[in-house]
Amino acid sequence: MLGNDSNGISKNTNNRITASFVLFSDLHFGFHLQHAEHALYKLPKLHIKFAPARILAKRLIQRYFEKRCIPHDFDVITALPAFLRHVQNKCGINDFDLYLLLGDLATWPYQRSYSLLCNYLTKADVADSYGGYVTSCKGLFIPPSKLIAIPGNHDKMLLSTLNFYNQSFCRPLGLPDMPQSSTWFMHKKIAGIDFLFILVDANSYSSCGDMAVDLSFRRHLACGRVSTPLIDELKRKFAELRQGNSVDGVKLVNFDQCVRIMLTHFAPSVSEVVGLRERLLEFVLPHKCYGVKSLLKNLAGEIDLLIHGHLHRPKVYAFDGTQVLSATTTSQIEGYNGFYLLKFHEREIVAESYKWMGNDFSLEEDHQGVFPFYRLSPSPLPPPTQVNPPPTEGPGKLSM
Amino acid sequence: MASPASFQGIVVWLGEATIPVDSTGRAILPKRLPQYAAQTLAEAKRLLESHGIRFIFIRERVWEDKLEQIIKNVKELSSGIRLVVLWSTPQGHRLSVSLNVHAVEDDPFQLLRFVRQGLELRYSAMSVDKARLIERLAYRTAARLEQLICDNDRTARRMILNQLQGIFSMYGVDDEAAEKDFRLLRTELGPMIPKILKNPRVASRFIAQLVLDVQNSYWVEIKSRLIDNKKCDYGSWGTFFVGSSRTGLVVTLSHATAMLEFNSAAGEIHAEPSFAEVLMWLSDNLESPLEDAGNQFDSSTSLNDVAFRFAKVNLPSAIKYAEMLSSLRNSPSIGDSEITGLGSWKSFGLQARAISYLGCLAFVYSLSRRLTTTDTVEFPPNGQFVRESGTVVFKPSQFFIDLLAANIPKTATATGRQ
Repeated sequence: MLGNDSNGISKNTNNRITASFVLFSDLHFGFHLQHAEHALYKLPKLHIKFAPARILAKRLIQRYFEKRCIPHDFDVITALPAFLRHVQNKCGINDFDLYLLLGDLATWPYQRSYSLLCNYLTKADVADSYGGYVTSCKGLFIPPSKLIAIPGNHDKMLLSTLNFYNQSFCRPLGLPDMPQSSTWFMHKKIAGIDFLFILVDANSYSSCGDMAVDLSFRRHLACGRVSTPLIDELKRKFAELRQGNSVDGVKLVNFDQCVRIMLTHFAPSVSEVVGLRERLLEFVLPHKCYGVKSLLKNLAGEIDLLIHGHLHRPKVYAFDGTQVLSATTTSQIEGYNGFYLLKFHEREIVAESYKWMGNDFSLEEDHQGVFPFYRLSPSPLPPPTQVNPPPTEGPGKLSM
Repeated sequence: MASPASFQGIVVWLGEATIPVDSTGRAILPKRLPQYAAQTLAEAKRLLESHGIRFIFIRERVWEDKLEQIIKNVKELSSGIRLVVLWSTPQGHRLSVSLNVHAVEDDPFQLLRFVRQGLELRYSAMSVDKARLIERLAYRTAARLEQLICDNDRTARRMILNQLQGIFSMYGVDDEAAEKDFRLLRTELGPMIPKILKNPRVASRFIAQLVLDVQNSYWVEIKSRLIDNKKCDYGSWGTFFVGSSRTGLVVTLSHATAMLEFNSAAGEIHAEPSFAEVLMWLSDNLESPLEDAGNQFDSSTSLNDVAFRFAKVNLPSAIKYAEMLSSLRNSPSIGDSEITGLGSWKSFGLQARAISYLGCLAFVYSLSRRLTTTDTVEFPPNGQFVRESGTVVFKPSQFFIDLLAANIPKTATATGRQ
């Protein structure tokens, strides 16, 4: 049972919260905290490889990339730490149990962007300077042990491997390297509940060399791919865990009773989340993820909740019998900014959506959701419900 | 006689037939301060009316025994200008002091020192929090400006030209020419902004966004500073304090003189010099537009509407001057060598800051106008400004208080002012 206080923050009135996770996606960190000269990205010169572009559209392509790689909104990241503290107070907890990052952490894979982000995530204060002017803001001060992150398409933009992401983001924070085009299992025990996180890297990678663009760009810039070997790998890992074996350092005593959450950057269904305009843009630059349907079919009943980012829109929906939560961008300039707070009760997850309103966050009734745990319940429950479904879906905004 | 080809006059040499030079033949004041010479008071008056004049210099050795009379005459021209007497004799110095005008010894080094000190004094007067607010807003404004340029027809046409050059390169012309042109395009982004904003439809959309951005950044900065420092000092735009009482946190507002009676935002500038110069010029030159704009507005119109119209009236002059300054000064050096193209963005950043300052002025001005006719101006979810017995009081919402309470340690408010 949810109730809202006068400030828009929901208060749980009946169920005790057993665990709480914060969901950030598409942070899109730029390479300076805040300076007018760096409000938009100026990218290194790209290698345009296909002949027509070399002659006709070289500059347009460069500009296109710069225009689409919009960095973080400084107002949002300034206000976020204070608002999270406020939510904690309202919920009566000292800290959230986990922070999930759903990819597109940097808007372009630059070392400087990741350094800033690492500082912002883990330090109490962040500072940056340019031209003698120092900018500072509060950081989120999250212990790295509470972070779970996956890479998005911007984290490997025009790169052929995931090495840069692992080296610049995972290792400085002490997080395990994310295997490329593969999966990684993580286990967290919170309040006696076993949570199994299935991290999936469904990125498609460039095959024409780093920082190069050729005619294959539609296949790797913004769309993902779940390959058959990846599905087989997942099935094998599930089987191993069920038999009590160790997978990626995870060993579960009671595999059937753990809560299984799959994290992937790409959405199983673009049309479920975004509006018509964005669906038309799909013809130019696809944002879909090939092979997801097959993945979910093969893992039917095994996943309690699939969470994704990428489309910059919050949404609660079901896809092929799987409960899905789409997280919006958290901090991109001019984006539909916000974050989810996941509250775990005995047999369900309540997802609260908080939307950036220009000068602070506010609870967004339209995109709240309740996800019952089908497997853990004694009897099947109805599909996931959006607490207050919006009357009409406004147009979404696609990231690259 | 006015010197030709100057964009804005800010120094007038009264009674000089030509711009005075020192013994080496150079202008006595640095060239980046455009200088005029006026033979007569009538010429000085005309210059004053048509340009943004800030200083009138009177040389004792030119006027000699007419010095007292000419000082009095110039003072009558306008109270807004700075009158400086360059004295050559102790008598001229005494006279200047007795007539309450600036007196500087007639020597190039003393003059330079005077000008520099004058600028520096003004830079240091701006509160840190106000400078932070403007920088915060400039970041967003710059992003908007760039989007504007990307979407602009003129830019698109230029891009097509570049493509055509690319086609020529196919027939043996070196591609470097096209590359050079592209670099030029980037250099011209700054100057393109005023041209793009000449389109009324584009300008209206941009200013409407600016007005909303100011309001948002204003509150984000207040909350951030109150949490960090228990105080947010916007100078004459108001200073917020957090204190504690038996019932909890208390947020108070003081020094909101601009909200009570908007006189202009003169004398509060601090940031890197190029930025400060823009702000100084803005604050000096927006006084009369402020009054004019004020007379046009129906005070019953909404806060955003007043701010919008104010910004619209003043935007062209603000960006024009920022553009001029950018050509006079170099921007800070760019440290990130891996990032291409940034070196040519000096005027871009400057314009973003100038527009941001203008946006903030517009916001405070409209708030001031609104409070003359309405007792309460509300800003959900943060609180409201209320006019109470000749002062402006800030009444925070419960959300605002709760947010601060969650982030400020209880002991930290003990020293906060109430």
